[in-house]
Amino acid sequence: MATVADVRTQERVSTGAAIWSWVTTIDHKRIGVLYFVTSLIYFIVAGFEALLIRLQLATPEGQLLDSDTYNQLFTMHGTAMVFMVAMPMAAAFFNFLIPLMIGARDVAFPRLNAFSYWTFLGGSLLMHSSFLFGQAPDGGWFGYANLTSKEYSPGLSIDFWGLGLLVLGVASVAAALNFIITIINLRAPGMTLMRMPVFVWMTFVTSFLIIFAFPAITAALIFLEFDRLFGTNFYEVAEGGDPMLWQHLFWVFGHPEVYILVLPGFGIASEILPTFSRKPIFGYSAMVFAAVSIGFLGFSVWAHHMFTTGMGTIADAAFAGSTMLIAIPTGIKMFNWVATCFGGRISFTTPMLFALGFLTTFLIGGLTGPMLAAVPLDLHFQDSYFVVGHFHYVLFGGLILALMGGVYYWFPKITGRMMDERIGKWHFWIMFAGMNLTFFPMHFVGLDGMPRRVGTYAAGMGWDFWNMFITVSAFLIGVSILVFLWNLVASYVKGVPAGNDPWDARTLEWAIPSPPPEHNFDEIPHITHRDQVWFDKYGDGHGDAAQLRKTSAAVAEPAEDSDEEHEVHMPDPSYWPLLVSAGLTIAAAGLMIHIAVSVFGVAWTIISVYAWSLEPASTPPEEH
Amino acid sequence: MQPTKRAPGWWHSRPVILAVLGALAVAVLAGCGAVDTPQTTLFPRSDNNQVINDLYAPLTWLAIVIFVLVQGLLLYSVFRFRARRGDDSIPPQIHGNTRLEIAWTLAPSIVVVIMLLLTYQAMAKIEADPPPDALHVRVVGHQWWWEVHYPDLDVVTANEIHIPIDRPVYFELESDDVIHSFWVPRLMGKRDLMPGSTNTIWFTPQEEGLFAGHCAEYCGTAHAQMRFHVVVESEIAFDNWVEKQRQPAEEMTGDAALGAELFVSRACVTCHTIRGTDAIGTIGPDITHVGSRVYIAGGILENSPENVTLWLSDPQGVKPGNEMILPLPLSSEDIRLLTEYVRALK
Repeated sequence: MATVADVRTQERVSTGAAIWSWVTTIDHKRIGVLYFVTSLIYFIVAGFEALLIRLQLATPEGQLLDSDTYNQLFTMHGTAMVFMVAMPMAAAFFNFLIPLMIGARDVAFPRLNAFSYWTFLGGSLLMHSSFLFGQAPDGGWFGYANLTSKEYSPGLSIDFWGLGLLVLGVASVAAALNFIITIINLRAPGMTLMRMPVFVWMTFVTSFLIIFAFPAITAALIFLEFDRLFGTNFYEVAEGGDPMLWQHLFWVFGHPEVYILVLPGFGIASEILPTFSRKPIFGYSAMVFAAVSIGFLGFSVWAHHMFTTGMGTIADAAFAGSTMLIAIPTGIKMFNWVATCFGGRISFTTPMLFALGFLTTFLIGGLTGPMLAAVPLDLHFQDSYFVVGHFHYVLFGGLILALMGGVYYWFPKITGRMMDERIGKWHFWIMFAGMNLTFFPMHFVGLDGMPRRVGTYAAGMGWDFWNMFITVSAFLIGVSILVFLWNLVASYVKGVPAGNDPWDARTLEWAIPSPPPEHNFDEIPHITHRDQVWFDKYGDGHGDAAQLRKTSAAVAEPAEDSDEEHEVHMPDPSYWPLLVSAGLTIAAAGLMIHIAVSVFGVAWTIISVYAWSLEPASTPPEEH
Repeated sequence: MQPTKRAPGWWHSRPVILAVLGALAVAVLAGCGAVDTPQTTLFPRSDNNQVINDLYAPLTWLAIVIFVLVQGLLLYSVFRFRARRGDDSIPPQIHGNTRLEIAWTLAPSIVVVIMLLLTYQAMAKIEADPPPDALHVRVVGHQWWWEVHYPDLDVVTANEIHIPIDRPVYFELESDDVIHSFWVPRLMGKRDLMPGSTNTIWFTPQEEGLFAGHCAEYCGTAHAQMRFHVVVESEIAFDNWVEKQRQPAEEMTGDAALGAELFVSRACVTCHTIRGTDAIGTIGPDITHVGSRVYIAGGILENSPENVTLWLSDPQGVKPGNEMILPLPLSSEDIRLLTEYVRALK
């Protein structure tokens, strides 16, 4: 899904050159598209795994999958959805939008950005290559020690998982640093922090969460791989190690990870709701500070995943308290979103439907959250289908619906064409119905005592009806994905041309052509207001509507006749980021093959980094 | 269902709680409300589980009220203020309202405090120390079965825990390999079995019956088949059971005696203990009185001659991954004799 202009201007260019231009690209928009397409493919793969899981569970004593295969499927479904779908798809939006929204020509470190993408691709391919060897990871996405030790998980399955995640972690941290630095340094003149679009704020907070949370899982994974590869004893009970160490480190990462996943969804909804209510976001500063406090509190709640491990009353009580506190900033956000709609002029476009669907389902997931934080209830809910229902409401409702809304909202900007509204509404309603019919009944089977991560269950437990019901509903989600893919392709090929600002929107990306030129802005805009584009069109909102409209003539005119003085020098493409990523991936994979391969990978990485740092950012213009 | 010790209020009943969770549920439950759910969390049959259950109603109701309120506001806002055809006017650009925002910061804060107080109240009850007269049971988790000791009664068994009604029972939970979790949903919430340390949980059962339990922490290949049962019985029945469990295996006669000879002459003895015989293996469960259990094979097969035969014929087919790997397939005659023997180990 290249930007239309890119592909179409290159029509006469050979296929090889076109592919090469994508391999070496350091344009944040193209990297965003790469992230999107890759994560969409993993979404389909992991969704397919989910359907296999549901087919197995449709009836008691299911015969479709044996238990080892089932365990691999739920492990890879969870791992892929978190690390290879949700995070990179959010990264796709960060990449494409952040520079446009803050009035920059690219991210701070364009080549590092390319490196993040290729490293993500390398890590995810490394993990998925395990299927080729029949060694797919089977320790759960949470990989609890000591089940993951060499003794209880011989073979390479856990190594594929652990090493793959380590490589993915490098990609995430590099990308997060890049966005933090971009947002701090590259904002257009006049764009103070409190004038940034909420989506930019959410990216900012998410990026900080990533750089603080990933060290914990990185340490945990390094301990794990040291135990497995070199015989250390971090988690070996017989040698004085402690499996609880894994749980603490994993959840110190794992709970902030939840916010890493949903904050981008919050950001997307916070852009869509104002546009289609034709009102600014209600309580902007409260929205920002609520997100920041969610980010802080998110680091103080990890042990609510461990109430059943017997931590003791004091710890249980403390973590129940800190967890419930998160309901307060989340409540503030929820009310502010509702108030954004109140008094507006609501148009029910497809992106708006997805944003409203997000509010509804996230509300449900948000309300079962405090129930889970109530320790006594959690003693039943923990590891039952109730919690599966809960977090699918949070992640499918809170993130996937928002991301879908984001695709419909920004597709015109990315490709220059509108997505089909009629098919889009079919997509929304099928997906919305499908997800509720799938995930809501999971609460019921959970209350009726069905544990999660079971590939088979006995008849006569009272779970048969709902499991069949859930399986049928899950296929409804599958159908909605097909409708989405069809819409995506059809609209890309023959969608209605979008123009700069098809939604009458508010933020900077809508002031430039769709798709944006490579350098984004002919002239870096000067920012005087939040929602600058809206202000340029309609003024500051004091005074009546008729007056407001008059000022619409004042829309910032991009310098159409930009002459040589405005010529923009963009950095050149580079293949070194890809080579560094490849070196890293080989180094990680080598640990499973032979240490020499690893040494080779490290050498390759060092040489590539060296070459990268010697490469000039751009060919110097001749007249200089 | 036998009568409960304590009649729960109408708002605790299963149909009500489920119904309020969604209109959808009401419609369908009406059709299948009679379905038996042996592992449900909604019909508690112990004192501490009743404490947990009492927390369901207030927290569920709070969640429902908040949902209806917020969702109602949202639906009202979007329909009341929907754009009419041809109306491209611009609504007042309101950026916020401090008083409202303070109000909806305070409102969730109050709800949180209420929820926390209710939570702490319930925690104080269920996390209190067990009464000193509690029956002491030690459970050791294995991939994928449960070893059960009664340290004060000198009883060892597996996968089926007998306890007397109305007497507090105190479980010490340990693991021999990986993490498992002990969950009998109708008797108590779950508690993990951690390798290298001992966890505890206690409750007082309040109804006689057979209660289904399940390992609730993913523990490898056969996690789905790591089940067990708790038999709550009268004090007298329990004492009789204990007396019987303390005895070594009876002398066998007829086919069962032939089966017994087969058992000690084959690989069975390397893993299993049958007290009173030469079988002293400790890798698998103690099966001295396996014939008296309601279920076999880690709680997944009812104890019938057909199922014992099935298990002996193909343990890997019934429960893939488990450690009962027969060095050679048994002949059908061997299986018949062993089945006789196992069934006779009452």
